[in-house]
Amino acid sequence: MSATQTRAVAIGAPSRVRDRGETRGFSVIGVLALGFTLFLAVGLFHVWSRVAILEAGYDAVRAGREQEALREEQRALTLQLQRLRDPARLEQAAARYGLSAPAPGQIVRMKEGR
Amino acid sequence: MSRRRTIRTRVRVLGGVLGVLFVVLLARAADLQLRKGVVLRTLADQQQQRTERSLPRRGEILDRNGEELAVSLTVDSVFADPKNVEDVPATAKAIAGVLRRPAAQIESLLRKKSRFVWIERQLDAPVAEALRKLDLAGIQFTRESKRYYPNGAIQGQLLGFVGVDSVGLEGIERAYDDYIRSRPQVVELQRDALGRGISIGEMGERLAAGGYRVQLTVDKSIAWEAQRSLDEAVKKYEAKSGVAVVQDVDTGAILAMVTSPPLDPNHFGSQMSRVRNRVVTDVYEAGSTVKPLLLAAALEEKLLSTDTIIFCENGRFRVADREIRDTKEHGWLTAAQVVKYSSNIGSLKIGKMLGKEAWYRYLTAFGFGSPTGIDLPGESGGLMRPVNRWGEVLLATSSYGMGIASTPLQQANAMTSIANGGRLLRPYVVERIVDDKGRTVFEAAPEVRGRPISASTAERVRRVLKSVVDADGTAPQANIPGYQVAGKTGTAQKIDAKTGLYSREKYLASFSGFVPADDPRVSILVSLDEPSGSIYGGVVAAPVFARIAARAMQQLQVPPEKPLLPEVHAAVPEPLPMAADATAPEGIRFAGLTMREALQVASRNGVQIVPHGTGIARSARCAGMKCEVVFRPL
Repeated sequence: MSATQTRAVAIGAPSRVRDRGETRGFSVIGVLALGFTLFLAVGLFHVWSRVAILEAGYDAVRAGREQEALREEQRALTLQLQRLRDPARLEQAAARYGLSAPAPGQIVRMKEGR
Repeated sequence: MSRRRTIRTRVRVLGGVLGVLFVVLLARAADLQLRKGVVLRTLADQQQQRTERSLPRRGEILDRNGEELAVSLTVDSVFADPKNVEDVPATAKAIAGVLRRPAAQIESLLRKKSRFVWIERQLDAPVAEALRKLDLAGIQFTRESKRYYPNGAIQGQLLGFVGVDSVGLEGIERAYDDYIRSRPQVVELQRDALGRGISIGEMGERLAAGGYRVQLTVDKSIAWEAQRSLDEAVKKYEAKSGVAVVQDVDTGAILAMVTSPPLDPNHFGSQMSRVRNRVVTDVYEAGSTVKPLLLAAALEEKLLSTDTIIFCENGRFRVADREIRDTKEHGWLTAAQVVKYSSNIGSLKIGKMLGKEAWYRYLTAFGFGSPTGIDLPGESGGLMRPVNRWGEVLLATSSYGMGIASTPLQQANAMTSIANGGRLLRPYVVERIVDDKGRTVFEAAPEVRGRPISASTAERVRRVLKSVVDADGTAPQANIPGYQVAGKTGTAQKIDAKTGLYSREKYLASFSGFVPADDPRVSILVSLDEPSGSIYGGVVAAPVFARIAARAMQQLQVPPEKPLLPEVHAAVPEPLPMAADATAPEGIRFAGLTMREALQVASRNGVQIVPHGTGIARSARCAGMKCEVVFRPL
């Protein structure tokens, strides 16, 4: 009986030790793998975000340049418009069609109807 | 069993290697970040950042209606690095051909020892494009801001101009340079390996920041009419120069301020003799345009009424050692007639009644002897001797505007105070200033500097000034159809620089007045220096006043006070049959009228009409005081 018990212990003990050893071996690897995975994920996210920021920066510069070009174009068109609306030029152009500025009596301003 | 052990061993070795690598990686990261971090960051910044300097930009200058009077564009300037120019004579010849300058001049620039030489700044776009196409070694371009004045000479002296470095040199450009010109912004931008810029937040906005926008009180249309009319008069009468100023009588705002010969700020370099804004800088003896002020002072002091009779000595009167003359031999005149017929002798007698202290006090109260405070550079305060140095002669001559000198603006501003019921205002030309974000940073407000006379006195003087433009007054040519004009002529002798005496050939002809006389809106002063042919203000300056006044009334939408056209019904030979006209309010008939006539009839009767078509009125359908009128060609 006691031999049986001793054997039982002898048989059972190494088995438990082996199981614990295997579990410990896998857990170290698992932790390391998890760590690497996390590290990789964080690294990839960091790189992705940096690239995204860079792209947005390029876009912003492009948009800024476009905005400034449009503003410049607007200023040039304003200048052109004002040159075309120069009173001296308008009067000369009107005179070609036999038109002239109205005399005070030729302008009738409407009052609000009663 | 052995296989398992092998696997275990391998796993442990692998784990160990990875662990060591991880530790090494961490150690390296810590080394880079903690130990060498600062040094590496500095090196990276030097590689990745670049300094950008924005161009100084100038905000627009607008008139009261928002029309641009000055605009800036970014243009190319060309420069050379002489060391890199390969064939100097050929390069100089090619550039000279495009710029239309002597090749020798360009060549001398290209032979300089310096590494940077301006060839020409602020090129027009086609010229810059032509130069670029040449693709010359050592020739480079940079961007600069250039100022343009799209209306040329309209308000040239008032606007002023800027130098090649975008700094205001004269006029509004100079007076408001701190607002109009943006300060160059220096910002650090990131760049990539290819040198491309990467925006970082507000820095881009800072680079794009522009100058402030300045809106003036002037009206482009009125100013143009003033400039054109004045230029024509200066040419017609071969005058040395001329000035005109138009002022809003309620606020003191300047609606136009012109000098002839005109200045085109786009080409100021070749017109430096025209730069001065004579309206604020030049002083002269105004002559008879001060007589209304004298009358106002005497009325205010209750020394006389406009009906008081004054003997004008039949045109000749001696004061101390001087003989004072009138142009006509006036006998007895009322005080009002003294102004209407511009009698010097009558005026000096009013001045004598007033006394030198009181007259000096009123002149000062009307703004003579000190600057008006207008927001422009270089304003003169005029010349007036201290009252303790006034003698009998100066009291006499100052009564008709001689012996005291003032600027055209001072004279116009004094007349404005009579027009507006006795308020002396501070004239101003800037209405508001708006920053580059659209926020108003300055807004002008009318400022009353004093009350030289009461409203009732101003009213009495206004009535007298209306008579000046009567057919028998001194300035019937100042009249404009539909409006009652009030004003005063001035024909002042100038001092001959050679003799130091008053010249019998050199005169200053002026007209200062306001319109409409009974409810004044604008005060206008016109003055021509040394006209030939005619010398009288009523002949030389009054017609210019009339043209400017007519345009001002039109532009400010002031309705006429008097009927302008013949009665409409008298002008229509035979009304056409129009059945639907029966619905029109009683006494109103549109049949057969032209559109203008129909509008006049409607306006006079307070009827609102909606016109359809063109030609002669054929039918009308009215509901109450609103009528739809159909016009058809004859």
